[in-house]
Amino acid sequence: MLNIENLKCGFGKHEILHGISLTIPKGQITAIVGQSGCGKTTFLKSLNRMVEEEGGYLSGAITLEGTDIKSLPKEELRRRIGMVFQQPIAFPHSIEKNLSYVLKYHGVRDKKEISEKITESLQKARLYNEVKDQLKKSALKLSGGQKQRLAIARSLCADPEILLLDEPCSALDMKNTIAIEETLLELKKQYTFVIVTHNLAQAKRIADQVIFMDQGKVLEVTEKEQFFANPASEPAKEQIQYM
Amino acid sequence: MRTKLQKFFTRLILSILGLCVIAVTLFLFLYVFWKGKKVFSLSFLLDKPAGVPLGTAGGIYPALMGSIYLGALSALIGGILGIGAAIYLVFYSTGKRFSGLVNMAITGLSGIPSILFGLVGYTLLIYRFGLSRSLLCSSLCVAAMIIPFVAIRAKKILDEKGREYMKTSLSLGLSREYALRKMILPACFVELLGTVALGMAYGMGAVAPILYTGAVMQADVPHSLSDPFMSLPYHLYILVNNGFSLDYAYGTAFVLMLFLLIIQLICKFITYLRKDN
Repeated sequence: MLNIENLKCGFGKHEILHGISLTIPKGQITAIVGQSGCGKTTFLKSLNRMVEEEGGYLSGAITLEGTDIKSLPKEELRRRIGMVFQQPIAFPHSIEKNLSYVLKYHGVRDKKEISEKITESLQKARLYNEVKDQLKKSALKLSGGQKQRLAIARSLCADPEILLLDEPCSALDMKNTIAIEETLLELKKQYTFVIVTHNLAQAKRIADQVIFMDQGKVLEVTEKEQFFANPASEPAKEQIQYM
Repeated sequence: MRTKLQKFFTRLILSILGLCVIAVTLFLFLYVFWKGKKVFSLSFLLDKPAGVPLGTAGGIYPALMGSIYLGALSALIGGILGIGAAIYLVFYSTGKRFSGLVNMAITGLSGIPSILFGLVGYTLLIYRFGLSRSLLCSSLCVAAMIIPFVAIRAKKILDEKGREYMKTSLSLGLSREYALRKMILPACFVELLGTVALGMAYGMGAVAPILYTGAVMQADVPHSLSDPFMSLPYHLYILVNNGFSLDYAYGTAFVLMLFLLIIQLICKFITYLRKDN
């Protein structure tokens, strides 16, 4: 469980998030929705302190299973709270090496174990059947959808508790979008997902909880059914109207 | 109609300007080759300079080797410092003030006339520290000259390719050092090597920084870092400045240009192969 108390975040003198407090429950898919520029991605990046890598600041408290994330080493924090970006990045190596690169850093040295973990991660990300005969081939040759699933598999190699996804399907066609959504739905038994999406229909399809943001503030944190049936805030009502 | 004419003339003028650049390069090569072909032969490449005055017969072997040694050593020193500065700026700098200062230093260094590197090198290394005029002193001066050349290009390469890899690696819980060592530097290695090689070519062509610090009119191939050395551009400078032999000067110039061209072509070819893969 991730607990956020009075989170403020920004760059220099420009504050983007103005005191957010909420809880992200374990084993669920939480979707963050809202208009472009409302601070969804900044909020997501603040959860594993990636925002600080871009020169941003954080204040307030975020606790992961009761531990303040600022007390954790950044590597440990990001191993536990992984992240997948909007544009999937495949490293310029083989599919296998894209994954073993992560495993080796996190202490997996035995070749057999590496191979097993690679297979397991690819299977979880529903990519294994498509690439099982070409693990030695360059990951750069994969399609956009496959690269995104590779990115998910790579994140799973670090054995995270929570996976943050920043509009993972925005550049994908419907077929690949559905493949990723099905993957998330299947994996939520084992992992917690927080997904930023501008696509309300996607949130409706996969989310358990919805966070609605507007101008750096959280207007609603509610269960999906309630959010779509009876949104509490006017901006949310407007957006749902145009779905 | 007027817009079409404007487009046509813009295209025409820009094409002519582009052709002019090609023409100047071609002319320079062909002219130097034409003038130097009288003396160009295998023995010109492999023999020591001879004749009275020196350089009016024989070859340029010590100068060629001296240039290669100078280029390699200064590229090694300048490459490490330049790439190091670029890595710091792209992946490590957090304070805008300090990174701004490093950026300003790099830009400032790139604007310093090359003779000043020679002058400062002479004053500091030879006059102040008492080192002899040598390959080491000249390499240090040339290295200082190529640091901004390498740093600016390396920063661009790391910015374009490395930033995304670093961001992704950090998000996977990996350390900056591991990402650099295992992913970013290997991924950018060929481009960085190409940049250092171009820096080497740039350094090899310089006369001013080595004028007071190590280059001499006659020397053997250097056996140690403390030996003085001959270099192609300095040899060329002596031949022309003293009016010894224009033919040999053009022969030397041709070898120098050819050598630099080969380095550049190898870099282009490697980059091409890399992109193709």
